[in-house]
Amino acid sequence: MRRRALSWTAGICLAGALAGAARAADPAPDVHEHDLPNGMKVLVLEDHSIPNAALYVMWRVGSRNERPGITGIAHFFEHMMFLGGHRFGRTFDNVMEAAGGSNNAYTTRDVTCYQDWFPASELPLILDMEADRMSGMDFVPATVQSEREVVYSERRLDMEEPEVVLDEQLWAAAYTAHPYQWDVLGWPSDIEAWRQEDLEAFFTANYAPQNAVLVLVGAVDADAAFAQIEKRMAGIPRGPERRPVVTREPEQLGERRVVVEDTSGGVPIVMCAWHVPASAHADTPPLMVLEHMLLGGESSRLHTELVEGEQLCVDVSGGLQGLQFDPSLFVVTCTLRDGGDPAAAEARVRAAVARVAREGPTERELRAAQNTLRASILRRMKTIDGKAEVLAETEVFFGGWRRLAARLDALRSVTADDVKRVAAAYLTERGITVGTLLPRAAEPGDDEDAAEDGR
Amino acid sequence: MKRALVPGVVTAFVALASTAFAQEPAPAAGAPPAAVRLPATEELVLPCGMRVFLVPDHETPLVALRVRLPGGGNQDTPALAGRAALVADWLRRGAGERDTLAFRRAVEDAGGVFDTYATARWIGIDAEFLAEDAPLAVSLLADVLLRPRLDAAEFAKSRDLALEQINVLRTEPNAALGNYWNAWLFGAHPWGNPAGGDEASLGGDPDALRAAATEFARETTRAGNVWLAVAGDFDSVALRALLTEAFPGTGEPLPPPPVPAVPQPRKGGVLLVDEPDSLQTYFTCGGPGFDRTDPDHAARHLANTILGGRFTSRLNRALRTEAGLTYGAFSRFDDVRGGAFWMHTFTQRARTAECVGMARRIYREFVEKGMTADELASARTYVKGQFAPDELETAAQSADWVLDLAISGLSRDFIDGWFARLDAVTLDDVNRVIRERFPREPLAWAFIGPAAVVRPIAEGLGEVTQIELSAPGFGPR
Repeated sequence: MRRRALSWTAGICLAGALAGAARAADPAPDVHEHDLPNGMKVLVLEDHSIPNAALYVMWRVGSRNERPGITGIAHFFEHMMFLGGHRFGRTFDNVMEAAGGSNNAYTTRDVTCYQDWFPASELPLILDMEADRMSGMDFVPATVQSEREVVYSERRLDMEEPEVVLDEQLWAAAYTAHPYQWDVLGWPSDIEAWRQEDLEAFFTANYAPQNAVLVLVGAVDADAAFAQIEKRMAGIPRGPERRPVVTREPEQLGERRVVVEDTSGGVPIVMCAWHVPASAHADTPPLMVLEHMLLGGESSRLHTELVEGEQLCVDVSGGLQGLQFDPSLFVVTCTLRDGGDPAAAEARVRAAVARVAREGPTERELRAAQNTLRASILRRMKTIDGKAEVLAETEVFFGGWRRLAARLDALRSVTADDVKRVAAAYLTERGITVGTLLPRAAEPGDDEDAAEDGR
Repeated sequence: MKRALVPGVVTAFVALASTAFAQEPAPAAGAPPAAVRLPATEELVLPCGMRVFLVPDHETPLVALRVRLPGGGNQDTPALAGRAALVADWLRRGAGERDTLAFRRAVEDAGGVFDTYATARWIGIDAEFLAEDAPLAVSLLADVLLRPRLDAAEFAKSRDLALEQINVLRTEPNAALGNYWNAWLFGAHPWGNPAGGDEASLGGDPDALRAAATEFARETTRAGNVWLAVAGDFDSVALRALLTEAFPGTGEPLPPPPVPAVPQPRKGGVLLVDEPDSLQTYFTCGGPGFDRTDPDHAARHLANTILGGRFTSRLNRALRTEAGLTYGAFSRFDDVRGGAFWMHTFTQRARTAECVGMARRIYREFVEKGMTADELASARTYVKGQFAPDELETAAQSADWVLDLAISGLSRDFIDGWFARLDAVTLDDVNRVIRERFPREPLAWAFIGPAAVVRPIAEGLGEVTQIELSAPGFGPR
């Protein structure tokens, strides 16, 4: 998730901007929408501001579709999709870059998204390449092994970041049943252990066209572009229907605590987490306002109190954890000063939350949150990439890109009482999970790998 | 993520983007983009001596203010490292009628952003507001530049936070390495300063530091040293009137402060920063290069694209895609620091020797044999294809280029002629540049990793200087 936190705020805001812009000129933004017979959704938006295009393919597959033993495989797949298509195989990146294009991809707990940025004149080639890797994968053992090492290297970067280590333990403690309990990159033992058949089964189950949304924004003719998309994508057969993720996290019945002892010489960190509803839930807009008043910017309550006022912390951050299909977490992260008291930071966070539940936001705070959300929409709307991303997110997480306007309206109509109510309902003492990272001195013998490396 | 080639390091090194463009009218379908130009800009000097550039773009109802105050970290001696960054933070801690909190609320209540920061070349202010709030944006900017409070208690907070952030940086070796590398390469020159300062420069006599910061803040905000670009949705006539009223007085534009005599970077030598617990070994190596004002700039850019400037570069393909040694490997020329060349990667501790050996082999083969015609064609298409979205899609991006070119004394042709210069590079040109102008071994090296593993490898690369990651400062200056 944190790999590339999909911002709920950004999604909503962009959505709003598209819708708002549309209201001024026309009943709806000029998005061309098509459903292919195999279940794939296609959205095309013309934008001729630069001679380029952005293509997003967002798949409804993330680490929530994994199970113990194969954690991290969705993210590993994100890597393999650049290496295994029947026609382009390992030449995928070479071909794309030689045509003036570039690409990236990210995996969250909920989705995997592939992004291409290219001169619009190269659309036919880019579509050939995307269709190729959708159509099937060759899993060459040597490639699998080498890419497993790359993913492990990515994982090690995380393991050297104390905040990431604590975050991983926090989610593992806050969830006991639902697959959000493991990190997107997966447990190291699982990274070492995926087998060929796991990969094949995962691809077949998840990479079916009915699980994908394709969004194209750029200097194209919408009708001609759709014809090109249809020609290449419509022939990919619909896949088997997946077993849905049925597990619901049972209600948390009391406070949970997790401690990580850290020898890296860093500072203490405290995370307070509470369970909140899925992104599409009606209580998300008031939770966004709550997030903004507590953590949004340097005039937010917690920044003012903890970083500037008491100078207990170097930084406070967090809030909603991006776009998610299932009930997720609201996390407040406090990075303390050297030698700072974690208990004091935790007490301050809990008191600030309790106060919102009692008193709600001020009029100024409510207005500031709504202004900021509006402006952040517009900021994302400045690029073809931003437009593609918001269309894809809204389509996938909110039941269709046309929901943009409704989502923005929901934000505009949040009241102070709504914010008070959601703070009291979700950010409870009973439902809190607290993670603490405590620095401690390294001792001789901690460094078990050293002897091994020395051989 | 599939790539994101180590963002921490990129940030730490503050690599200057070396290309840019604004596009022609949309090309006919099927044709690649033909050329790119900076958008039309209006330029004026206010009576007070402040330079102003206007880049109108009415697509989105936002207005961006970009300010550059030339000087920046290049004016800091090693004993004052981090002063420019402190001043950048201090400037927005209360201005005019508003104290720190009131100023932040004025920005954030309107949904605006108002960031200040320092680079080696300047202190920057990047602000953006809804178009309807342009008067508010201008008045806040005038407060910061003309009426900063420069309050002593706020300075103490700023300094304390900066010291704390150094502690945090020491837990992130991949980000910290940039500081060690610059110090190792440039020693006591300001280019060797850690941007955020170090324990010694920030931790000494607070009154002396504050006095030096005050002097610098006054100096750098003089109207003649202010370069402002306004980009986005505004009415030029109204905006000119607003600016003239907000920035009164008379004065002359000043030339950018000179950079202390440019040093030759270190040639050879190994800095080993010991972190016994590190799971990985992080390293950077490189040497003298040449900057973007050189006639060989386009060839340099194409050459580096093939060596380490994109995902399928030779370094990343070999070390990541083929050997699985790392999450990313790349190379750059640092145009903020005279075009010094460096390449960077990391690997698990047990594979350090293999990774170092492979990076050296690839580099040696590259500088000895150069690239192929196919590689040149691919690099040229790639650089042109990525140019518009990377550099000139938004008015604010264009404004950044307008300011950079003006302050650097470069003409618009740097952008407008970029595609033509790329097209003019022949295979012979690019291979001459690779053979003759990329640094040859011995390269300078900087490692962060477990000395028990790295030391024997480092000794094979040159004379080793070893320090602890936990030791104050970022290496011998």
